[in-house]
Parts: sequence; C-alpha cells; structure tokens
Amino acid sequence: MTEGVRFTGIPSAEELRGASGIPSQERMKKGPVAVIECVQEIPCNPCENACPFGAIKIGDPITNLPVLDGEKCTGCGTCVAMCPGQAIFLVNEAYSETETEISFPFEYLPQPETGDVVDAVNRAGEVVCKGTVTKVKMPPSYKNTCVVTIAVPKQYAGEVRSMKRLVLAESLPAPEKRSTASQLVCRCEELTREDIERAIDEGATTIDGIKRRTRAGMGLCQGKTCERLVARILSEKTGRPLADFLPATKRAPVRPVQMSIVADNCEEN
Amino acid sequence: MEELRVPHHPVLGDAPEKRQVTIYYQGQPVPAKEGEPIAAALLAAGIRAFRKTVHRHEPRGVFCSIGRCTDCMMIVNGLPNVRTCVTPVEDGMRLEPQDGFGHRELTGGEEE
Repeated sequence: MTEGVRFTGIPSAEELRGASGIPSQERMKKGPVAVIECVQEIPCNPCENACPFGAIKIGDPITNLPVLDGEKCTGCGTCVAMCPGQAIFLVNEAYSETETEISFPFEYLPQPETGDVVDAVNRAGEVVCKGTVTKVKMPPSYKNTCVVTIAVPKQYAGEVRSMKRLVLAESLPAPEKRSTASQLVCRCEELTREDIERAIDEGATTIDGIKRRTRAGMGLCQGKTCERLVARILSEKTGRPLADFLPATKRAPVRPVQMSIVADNCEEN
Repeated sequence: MEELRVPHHPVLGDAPEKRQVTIYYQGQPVPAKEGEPIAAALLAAGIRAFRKTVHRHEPRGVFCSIGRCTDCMMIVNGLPNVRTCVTPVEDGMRLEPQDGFGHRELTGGEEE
C-alpha cells in the first residue's frame, strides 16, 4: 500500500469514497456545497466552528472525521478558507449545462481576477484542463485566505481541486537532476537509493535491518528524514504494505541536545 | 537577493520592520534582520553552501528549514553543529562553514 494521504499526501479514490464529509449525489446537483476531503483522523476541528450554519459535525473526540449535513450547507465557503489542511472545496454542479464550478483556497500572490483563464490542476498539482475564474472572494470571515472559484468542463469536475500559480517566483536555480539510483535517501550518512536497495538484496527486510547494514537513520537527524523513504523503498522492493515497516524503533532524545546538558548534571550529582 | 525574503505574505500580510544587525560569515559582514534565522540572512546574502559532508565532502545548505535534517549546521561563535535554520541571528555573531563533523578544542579546563 503506497497510495493514500499518509504516503503521498494525496487522498486516494478509495479513501474519498468512504469520506463522511462528501455530500450525496442529489445534494451536489442542487448547487454549491462543501466537499470535505478529510480522511485523516487528526485532532483538528476549525471547520466545525467555522460553519455559520452548523452543517459540519466533528464532536468528541476531536479526532473524529467531519460529517457534513448537506441540507444545512449553503455553500458559503467559510470552511474552505478556514480548513488548515486545505482539504475542503465547494463544488457547484448547477453552474451550467457544460461546466461545474470548483472553489478552493488560494494562498499565493498574485491572486487571479474574474475572467482569467487559468490552468486547473488535480489533487496532485498536475494540470488537467483550462478553467475560467468566476469568483475571487476574501471577506473578513475568511481570515486573509482567498477562495478562488473556477469553472471547468463537467468531465473534469471530480478531478480539479486547484489552479496553477500565476507567476512562479524566480527562485534559486533548479538543482542538478540525479539518476534514480544516486538519489540521496539518508542525508546524514550520505546513502543513496542504490545503497538501500543493495542492503535489501543482501537480505534486509526491516528498517532496522537496513540501519544495521548501512547506518541509514543513525546520523545526526536520527532517521527523521530517511525513515519514510527507506520504508517506501522496502515496500516497493518487497511488495509488502508500508504498514509492515512503520513505525520503526524510536528512542530519545527526539531533538538534538548539547552533551553539556547531560554532563553538567552528572558533575553536580 | 532581497527577493528571497517575503516582504508581502498573502496570509500574514506585510513583514514587520526589523532592526538591521550585522553577522560575520568567514569574517565578512552580512546584514541581517533582528530575530530572523541565521540561514535566512545567509540565503538573502546569496550564501547557499553552509557546510561540507563527512564522507563525500558535498556542499549542504538549507533543506528542511525546520530543524529536523541538520543539513544547515555551521560553526556559530565557535560552537559546531548549530542548526542555522532554527537559530536566530544575534548582532556580531561569527559564522564559519563546517567541514565534516564538528570539533571542539578539549582543554580539560573550564570554559570561558
């Protein structure tokens, strides 16, 4: 299992099918409605408090997934702006015969203007089609988050969830592309994908097994960066689900501390 | 390279005015804004390689920016292994790139 929000940051079709925040087909046809693509049970509930109509219920415990009451939802978009995970969208299937409106949070500058034709992107950020901006809203209740609405051809409505930034800031030059085999996996111990794959070929079947052969995860960051990458390579090479490998052994300290903090205490005692 | 700072943020608004301080990278003065991370001041000055790795001697700089990866470590006021992305600048700070592991003079005596 290498799909889904925990591994790619993108909810899979399967995860979305069962989500309690997604309105019914009938409700979708009636007009703008919140589509809550929240599939992770994390302690988070700003959407529940943000909704002026009580259409979103999380309740107790706070890790519950949001449940949408489609009949109460007016499609006002406040929850779209307030969701810290940017997991809520508005979908308006009643927009026209041929197009559906999608609204999403857009926290970049410059903001688009109504009438602009923009590149509509899917959940992975890949361009799907062109979209026409129909609304750009930022009332005080959105707390500085802009919500942009674009109209896209109906066949793409289930896919489109955002738009491409208008101007990508001229930033640092792109780093040289490394070949797949020479991609850095463990930055601290300077191990590449090839090194990890070799350890698996030599018989390593767990994150600890790879650690003992290569030192991956034993450097300064203590595996904070490479652990998930190693798990992913293990999963790919062995065909076993990621859950078989994670979480790996964790030991204190979780943050680097100066030895003097420990040593000074020893002296005093 | 002022553009690497974010003077106008779409959500947070305009950056507050900060007092300018001076830090020293290999003895050369680098302007910094009070309270910003060391790494921010260096990047804004066009300095991207903060250290060299132990085995391959490859340059490293800012990677995670949140104090997890330790790629951005430097020798700060003589102390090695300082994560510059989570350490705020102080006026007069002395920064040296770190080559490999951190070393410290062991004199057996009290620190100054």
